[in-house]
Amino acid sequence: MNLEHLSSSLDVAIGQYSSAGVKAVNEDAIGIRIPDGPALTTKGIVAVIADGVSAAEGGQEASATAVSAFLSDYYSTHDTWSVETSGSKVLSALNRWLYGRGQHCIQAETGYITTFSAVVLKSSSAYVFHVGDSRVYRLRGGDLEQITRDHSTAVGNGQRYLARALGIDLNLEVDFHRLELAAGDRFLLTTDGVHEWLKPRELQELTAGRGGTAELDGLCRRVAERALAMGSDDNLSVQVVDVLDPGTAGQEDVLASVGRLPFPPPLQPGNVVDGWRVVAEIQASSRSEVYLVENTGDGGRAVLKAPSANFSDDPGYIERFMLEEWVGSRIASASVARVIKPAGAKSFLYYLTEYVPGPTLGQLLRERTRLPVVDAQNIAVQAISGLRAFHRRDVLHQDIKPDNIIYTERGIRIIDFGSCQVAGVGEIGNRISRQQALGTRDYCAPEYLLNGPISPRSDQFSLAVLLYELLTGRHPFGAGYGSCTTEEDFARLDYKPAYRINPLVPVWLDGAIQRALSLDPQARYPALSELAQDIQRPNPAYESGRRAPAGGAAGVLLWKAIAGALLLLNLLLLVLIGTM
Amino acid sequence: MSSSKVNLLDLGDPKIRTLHLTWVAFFLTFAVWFNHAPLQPLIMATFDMSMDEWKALLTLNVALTIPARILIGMLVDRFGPRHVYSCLLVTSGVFCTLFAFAQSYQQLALTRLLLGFTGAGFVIGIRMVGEWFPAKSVGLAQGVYGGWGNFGAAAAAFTLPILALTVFGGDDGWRYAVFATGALTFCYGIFYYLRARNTPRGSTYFKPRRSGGLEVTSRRDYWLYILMNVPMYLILALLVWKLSPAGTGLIGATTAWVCYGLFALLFAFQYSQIRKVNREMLMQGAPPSDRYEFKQVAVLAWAYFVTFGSELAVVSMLPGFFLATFDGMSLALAGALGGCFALMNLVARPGGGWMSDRFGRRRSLSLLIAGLAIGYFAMAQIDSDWPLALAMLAVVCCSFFVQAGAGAVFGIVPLIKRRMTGQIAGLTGAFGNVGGVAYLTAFTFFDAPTFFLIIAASAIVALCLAQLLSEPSGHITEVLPDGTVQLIEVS
Repeated sequence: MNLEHLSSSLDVAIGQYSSAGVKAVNEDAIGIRIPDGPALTTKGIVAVIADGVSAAEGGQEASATAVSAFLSDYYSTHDTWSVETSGSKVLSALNRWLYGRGQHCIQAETGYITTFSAVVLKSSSAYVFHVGDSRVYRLRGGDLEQITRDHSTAVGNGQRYLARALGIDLNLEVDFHRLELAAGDRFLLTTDGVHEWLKPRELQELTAGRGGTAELDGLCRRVAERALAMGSDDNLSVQVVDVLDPGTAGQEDVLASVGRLPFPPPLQPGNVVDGWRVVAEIQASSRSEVYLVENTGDGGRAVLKAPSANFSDDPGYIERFMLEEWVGSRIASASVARVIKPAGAKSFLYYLTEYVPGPTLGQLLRERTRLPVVDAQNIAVQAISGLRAFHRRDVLHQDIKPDNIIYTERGIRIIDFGSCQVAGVGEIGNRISRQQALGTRDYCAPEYLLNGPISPRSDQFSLAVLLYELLTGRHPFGAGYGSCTTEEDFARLDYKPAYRINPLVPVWLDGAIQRALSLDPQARYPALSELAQDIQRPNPAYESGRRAPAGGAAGVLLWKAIAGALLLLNLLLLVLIGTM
Repeated sequence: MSSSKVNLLDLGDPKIRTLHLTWVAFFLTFAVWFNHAPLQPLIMATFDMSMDEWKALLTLNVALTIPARILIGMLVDRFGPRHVYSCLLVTSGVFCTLFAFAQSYQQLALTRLLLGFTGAGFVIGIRMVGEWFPAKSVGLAQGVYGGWGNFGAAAAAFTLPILALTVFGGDDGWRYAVFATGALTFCYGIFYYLRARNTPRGSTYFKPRRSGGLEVTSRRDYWLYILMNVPMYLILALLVWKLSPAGTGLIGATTAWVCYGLFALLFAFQYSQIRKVNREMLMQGAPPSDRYEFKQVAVLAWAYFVTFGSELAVVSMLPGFFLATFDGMSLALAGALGGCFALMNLVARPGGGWMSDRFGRRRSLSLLIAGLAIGYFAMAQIDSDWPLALAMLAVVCCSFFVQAGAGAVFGIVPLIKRRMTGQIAGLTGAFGNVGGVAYLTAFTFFDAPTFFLIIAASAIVALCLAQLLSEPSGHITEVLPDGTVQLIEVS
C-alpha cells in the first residue's frame, strides 16, 4: 500500500560543480538526490551544499559527513513526518554528532564545523534549511533573490566570523523557509568561495542559461571559474536545480490511479472477497461499512472496512479512505489496532485491520454508566501510549471517543484512523478539495470550532473528555458543549469537578483532568507523558486545599447568612447602646 | 443489486425510529399544506368568495415554496435538520392557526402565502434520512419517507370534511378542523425537537460541502443551468401579474412592483450563488473524470415538473372539481375522491423506482409519462354524465402513472453524479414545485377540463425530452455459487 495516487510528477534538471580552487584540499561538499517512486512523493528531492570551516581540524570531514548523512538520513525518516520535522530532527542529530567529535579535538573551539544549506523540493513547495554563510538563491523570471541570510559577522580587516554553523554548539538554530514553486524557478546554491567574489548582477547574468544536466554542469563550472578569475582564494562550489514542472497532482491523476479499484458492492454474510468470507456486518453508516470477515484459507478473522457507495466519485473521500490504511499501517503500538496486509491483490477498495473481540468503551459506558477509578486510569494511560505512537509520527488522531476504543482484558485498542491528520501528507498538494473532519463534536477541542491552531494538545483534550466520561458517565461541560460555536459560548461553559459526581475520584486526578481540559491549549500539559504521570500518581499541586470550597453555592450562601446575622446583631447592639 | 432489508417494525433501531419520526413530520406538513382543498365550499361560503379568488388562493399556497426551498436548504446546512424541521413544524402550526381564524380574504391569502414554507419540508427530511441510512438501504428509506409523507395530503382530504361537518359542525366547523391540523403540527414540532437527532450517536461530524447552487462541469451546461432557472421566475411574475390590478386585482400595483423587484433580487442572488459555486470550473474547466452532462439533470427536472408538479396542482383542485361536476355530491365524498389521487403514493412511488431498476431507466420513464398524459386526457373528458365509479377509476389510474413517474425520476437521480446527489435532488425537487405553481397559475386562467388538457400536452413535451436521457452506466457485480464477489464491466 502506498500513496501512489498522490504520486508527484515533479520534474527537475540539475547541475553541480565543486573545486578546491587555489587551495590544496576541497573542504566543500555537495550532493543532490532524486529518489524514485514513493519517496519522491513523501520526501521529495534534496540538494545540499556544505562548506567545512578551514580553521577547524575536521572541516573536510565535517562537510562531507553533513552532506552524505543528510542525504541518507532524511530519506529514512518516517513517511508521515513533515519536511520541517524530518529535516530538523536529522540536522540536530548531525549537529550533536559533529559537536561530539569536536570535543576530542585539541582545540575544542575549532572542531568539526561546517556550514549547511539544503533545498528540499516536495510537491509544489520548496523548503530551505540553512545555517552558516553558504547561500541559497532563487532565480525567477530573471530576478535573482537571496533566500538565506548569512550567519556571519564582520570582524574588521575584511575577516568574517561565522556566528552559526553545524558543530559549534549543542544548541543549534536552523533557519527554515517554505516557498511556493512555479515552473521555471531555478535554485542556486553556492559557498562563499563563489558568492564573495561575484556581484549579484554578474551571478545573475552567469546563471541565465538553460539546458539539460550537461549544460547545467557546464554552467556551474563557468560560474566557479569566473569567481576564481576574480581572485577567489577559497574552495568553489555551485549547484543549480531547475524546476521544469512543479508537478501538482491534479484531480484527474488521483482518480485515474484510485479509480482503478472499484468500490465493493453491499456485502452479505457468506460473500467472499479476495479470499475473505463475510461473517457479519459490524456497522453500516452513511460514510462507511464495516464487516467481520474470515480467511477462507486459515480461518483467521479480521475486520474489513469498505467505503460507502455514497462517495464513489468523490476524490476527497477516496483519498482520505486510502490514507486511513496508509496511516494505520505506519503506527506501531500495542494500543492501536494493526492494519493487515492482504496476501494477494485487492479487487475492490477496502482495507483490513486485526479483529479485536470486545466491546467498545462506548458500549461499556452504555451498560455500566461509569467504570471503577482504577480501570479508568489504566485505560487512559494505555490510550495515551497509543496516542503518543501517533504523535511520534507527526500524526494527530483527531477522533478519540469511547466508540473508537475497544476494551479487552489484555488492554485497549484505538481503532478508526478516518480523521487522522498527517503532517507529511498535508504538504503534498493537489487539486482535491479535502473535506475537513472535525471529529465528534462532544469530544473535539474548542480550537477546532474556533479555527485555532490544531496540535497534539487537541488530542489531549479529547482524551481528557474520555477519561472524565469513564469516571462519571457524563460530559465535563454538560450537554451544551456540543452546540458551542463561538468564543463566548465556550467562555460560558462550567466545568463540574469529577468528584462531585463520583466521590471516589481523587481530587488530584480531577486536577489533572481539569488541566488537560483547559479551553486554552497553552494551559494544557505540554506533553502527554506528564498527563499520564499525573493520572497515575498524585501531583501535590492538585492535592492541597482543593476540597475547601466544597459546598459551592450553598457554602457561599451560608457565609452570607452568617454575615447578615452578624450585621443585624451589631445593629441591635447599637440600638441597645443608644437606648441605654 | 440486492438491497439490504429495512425492518420498519424494529423500533429499537435508532435509524428506524428516526425514519418514522421524520416521515410523520413530512406527513403533517403535507396535511397542513393541503388542508384547505377539501374544505373549499365551506371556506368559500364563509368569505363569500368568487371562484377566481379561490383559484388565486390555491396558487398562493405553492408560490412561496420555490424560494423557500433555497432558504431552507441553506438553513439545514447551517443548523442541521433537527432544528430546522422542528422550527418549520412549529411555525407552520402558527400560520395554520392564523389561517383557521382569518377574518378577511386578505388575511386568508397572506397566511396561505406564508404556508408555502410548509411545502419546503421535504428537503429537510431527505437530508435527515441520508445522514442515518447506509448507502445500500437509503433508497428504500427515502421511498418510505417520501411516499408515506405525501400521503398526508390524502389523509387531510379524507378526514377534514368529516371533522369539519360531523365532529365540530356549524359554520365555523372548518376553522376548528384546520386548527386541529395546525395544533397537531405545532405539538409535533416540539416532540420532534425532543426526540430526533441529526446524526447517529457519536458519529463523526463533517462540515457540509459548499451549497447554494449546483456544480456543473462545462460552460455550456453553466448557461443551460442558468436558463433552467428562468421559467421559475417567469411563472412567479405571471402569478403576480394575474393577482395585480391588470388581472384579478387582489393586490395593488405597488405591491406587484415590489414583488417584481423581489424576484429580480432573488434571481440576482441565486445567480451569484451559482457563480460562486462554479467559479473554479469556469476559470480552469472541470477535470474529465469529474464531468457529467447537465442535460440529464434537466430532463429529470422537466419530468418531475409534469409528474410531481401536476400532483401538487391536482391534489388542491380535485375535491372542488368533483363538487362542481357531480351534482348533489357530499363534501366528505368529494374530499375522499380527491384524496384518492394522493392515496396511490403509498405504492406507486416505490413501484416507479422498482420499475426503473428493473426495465431500464429511459423506457420506464417514457412509459410512465405517456401513461400520465393519457390519464390526464381521460380526466379532461370527465363530465356529469360519467358514472362516478368510472371517474374514480380514471383518477386512480392517472395518479398511479403520476406518482410512479415521480418515483422513477428519483430512481435515476442518484445515478447521474453520486457526489452531487443531494444537489441534483434539490434542483429536481424544486422543479416539481415550479410545476405546481405553473399548473395552478394555468388553472386561474382556464376551467378544469382545459387545465387537464394543458397538463396532458406538457406531458407529451416531457415525453419527447425524456428521449434525450442516456442510460447511466457503471460496474455490476455478480456473486458466484461459492460466494465469491466478482466484477463485470458494463459499457
